[in-house]
Amino acid sequence: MSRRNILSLYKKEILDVLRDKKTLIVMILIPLFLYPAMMLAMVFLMNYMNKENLESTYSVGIAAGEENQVLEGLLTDEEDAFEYLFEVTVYDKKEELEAALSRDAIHAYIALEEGETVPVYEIGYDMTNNKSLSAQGYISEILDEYKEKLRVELIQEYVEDYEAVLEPIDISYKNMASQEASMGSVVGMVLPMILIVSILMGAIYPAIDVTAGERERGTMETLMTLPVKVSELMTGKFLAVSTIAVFSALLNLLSMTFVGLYVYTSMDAVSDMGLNLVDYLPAVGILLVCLPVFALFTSAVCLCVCIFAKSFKEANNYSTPVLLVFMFASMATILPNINLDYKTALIPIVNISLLIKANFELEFQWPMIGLVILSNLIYAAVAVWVMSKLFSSEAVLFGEGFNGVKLFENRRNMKENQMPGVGDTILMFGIMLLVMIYVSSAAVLKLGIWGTGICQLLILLVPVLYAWYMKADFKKLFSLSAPNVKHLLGGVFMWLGIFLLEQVVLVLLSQWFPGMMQTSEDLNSIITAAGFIPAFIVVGISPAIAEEFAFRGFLFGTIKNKWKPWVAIVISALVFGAYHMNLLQFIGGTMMGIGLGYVAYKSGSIWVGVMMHFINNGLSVIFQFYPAVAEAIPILGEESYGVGDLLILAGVGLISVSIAQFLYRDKQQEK
Amino acid sequence: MINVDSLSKKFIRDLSKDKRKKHGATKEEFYAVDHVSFHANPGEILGILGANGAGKTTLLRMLGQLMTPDEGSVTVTDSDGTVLTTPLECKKAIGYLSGNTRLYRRLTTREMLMMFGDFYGISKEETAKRAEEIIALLDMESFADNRIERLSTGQTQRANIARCLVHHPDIYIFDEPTLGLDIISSEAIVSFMKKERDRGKTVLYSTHYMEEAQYLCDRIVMIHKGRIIATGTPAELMEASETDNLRDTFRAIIAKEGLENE
Repeated sequence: MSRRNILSLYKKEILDVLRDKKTLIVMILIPLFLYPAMMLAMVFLMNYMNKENLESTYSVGIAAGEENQVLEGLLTDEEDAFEYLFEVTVYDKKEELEAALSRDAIHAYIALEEGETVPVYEIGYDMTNNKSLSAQGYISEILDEYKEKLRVELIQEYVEDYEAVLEPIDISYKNMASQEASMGSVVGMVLPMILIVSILMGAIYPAIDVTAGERERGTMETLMTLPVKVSELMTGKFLAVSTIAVFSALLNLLSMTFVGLYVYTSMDAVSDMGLNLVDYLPAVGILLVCLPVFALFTSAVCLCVCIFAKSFKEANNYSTPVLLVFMFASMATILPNINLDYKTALIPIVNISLLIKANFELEFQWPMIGLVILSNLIYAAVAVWVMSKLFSSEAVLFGEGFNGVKLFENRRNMKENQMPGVGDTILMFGIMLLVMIYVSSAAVLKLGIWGTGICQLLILLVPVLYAWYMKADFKKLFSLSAPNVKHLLGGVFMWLGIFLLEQVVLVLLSQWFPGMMQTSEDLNSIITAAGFIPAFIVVGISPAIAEEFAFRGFLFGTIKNKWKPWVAIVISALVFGAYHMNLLQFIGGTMMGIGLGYVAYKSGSIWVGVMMHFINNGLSVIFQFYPAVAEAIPILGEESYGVGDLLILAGVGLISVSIAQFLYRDKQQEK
Repeated sequence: MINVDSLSKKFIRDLSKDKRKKHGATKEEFYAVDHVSFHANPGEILGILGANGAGKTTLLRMLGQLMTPDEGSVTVTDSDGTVLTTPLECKKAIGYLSGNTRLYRRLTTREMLMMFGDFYGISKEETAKRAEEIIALLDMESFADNRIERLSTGQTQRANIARCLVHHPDIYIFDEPTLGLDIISSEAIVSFMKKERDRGKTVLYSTHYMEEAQYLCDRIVMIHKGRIIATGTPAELMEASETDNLRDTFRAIIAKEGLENE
């Protein structure tokens, strides 16, 4: 890629977008005027309503009669104590009271009824009428006080120390969270969604403009006559959209800060809390870094979606589900028990949302913040890279994004023995993810360990059925040729080497990030409860086949067909790592994935990987059921490793990998 | 110079209901450009003639490196006789214009020329100088600093041609450049193509205006349904089919080949 070309494209996009008034309005006007205006309107409205309720006169009806005079006294006696007034009207009968309320002549009435043991004061009100509702509230307060007064009088007659009887104990509260953190936690529930959605808004319009808009205006073909590569084109567009999104993110942050300050100073209820606003400065500072990073991620997502669209209208249709996903994910802050940890820090959108919340609760976990920033950057980079690889110039030019995906074609029109494309792979894993979400959780709940087995079956079936539907070349895609002895031997050494290196890396990581080592106890208990044989089949054997077919088969085969083998090895390893949905296993899975990919490439046979995977998972089941076996192994069996142990493990691991490499290199040279 | 060898591009089209059963599929592939071979020399205007949907635009897109051919090859040679190997090199030697290459409406002509010069790696000063030359050449002084969205159709087309000139291309590929223009505007474009030919440039030009092609082109390639049906100078083609204008020639060739109702 040429930096000069990217720069020229970037300048062009920025100029073009800035000349478009619509985009400018959405970008600047909304954060700068609309949001503050909305907030201010809300503050005014709330202040007004409070005032209105407090300073009003409420007309209350009561029935005529001697016993009711005490009511009138209650309502009017202590007038000075309240800011509101009661205007009492006396009616003859209860029916009249009800009729008066229905025609809005009074806001509420009080009727004295005979109860079973004690008299009942009925407060009549209209729930749909705000003033009536307030009147009801105030009246019930007064009656409560009256009740309390009567109670005290009654007890006083019999007991001297009546206060101890009424309040035998007292409860006091002390909130250990600071005022600032408590307020922050309230702010942290709402603020993430506002910020996330407004950043999305800032990114999606320029994204549509530079993709579908450019295509619709007919300038895409002009652009393609220039000596630029598609990857440069995509990068330029990404940078331009990001710039605008980052700019709008900062604008949003700025306007939110000022609105916050204004609300703080103008709303009595809030300013009375006496918050120390300086405490929030670090939170705002962190957002100053994190929001632009999130804007990069958002721009990449928006571009990925819009690039498929042929027209503005189509792009708008695609952007609706994106908006919903962003909104839904950003509401993670409202759910209880979801906090920023090593797992949630890796979930896009949710991570930034939880980070904002944690920040305003004045909890600054630096490794988490780093992880959130890093993961957002990586997702954005991967999205841009995939985007520029996914689209040949023709697809970009003519907007045929979806035509590359074979599943959208009738099976009758499929050519025999074709290979899937990158779009197919993404769709296949998308389907797999959906199937897993819908089927697996239910299956695991109902069937325990066999449910996990069903999941593995699905992991195998989805790619195989996809390949069948598109009439793929099974032998080539899934590397179905038979391995020879040397391949298998090399596989064993490769597994051993990577396994040992994995242990070393994990031990080192657990020293630096102690929190990471908390593994899921649930799965382990399910496995133990199932018994050895079922566990061995479900955990030891079935993933060895299913996961190999999905990752070293479909995924690896597709990418290898398109690009260099090392790209296929690295990507399939990263996806395999990410599939484990856990940072610890991500690292382990990626390392093993590289070994498995290398072996699949060199041997051309999926069965070597199946064997390695089987050794790996089978052994872990054996270790869990028979810990004695694990403990019998030198060094590995020990509770903790010293520096010397680690060096030995790393050394043996490296030697083992080298032997594997040697075995495979030998074969290549013979050829 | 451009040399085209057995160039083909397949598209997919829907089958009619009765054909679906016979083929066992709902769609079929067909050649939009069907093994086309010809060459265009420096110092000549080569006309690509054909009806709407004949495959002219697809053919020219492949020549302009906007589309990858399914079969065959395009060889582009620059004025020094160097064979250009990568699509990017080829694009640098070609000035490409079609009905689909619209301009950035929010820019002025001058801004657009500066921007394109930047893409071709020409320095700012040089592009500015070049822009002045082009604006004078195409007589655009009166509107060069207006936003393109405010220009008339003829002015826009001149601005579009201006864009193709920034990088001194050796080869021009013009896809129906006079489509929908009035006499004055199209004459300006025609005279521009003649001038460039006389300066030794290769000009490829597609049209379905047979009269225009007859007096403008040095040689003609007639295509119909993706295939070449005739090549030669206008005079040769008219003589062979014993007609006195290209319109009749085109009709006569199609009738002779029995292609009319295919």
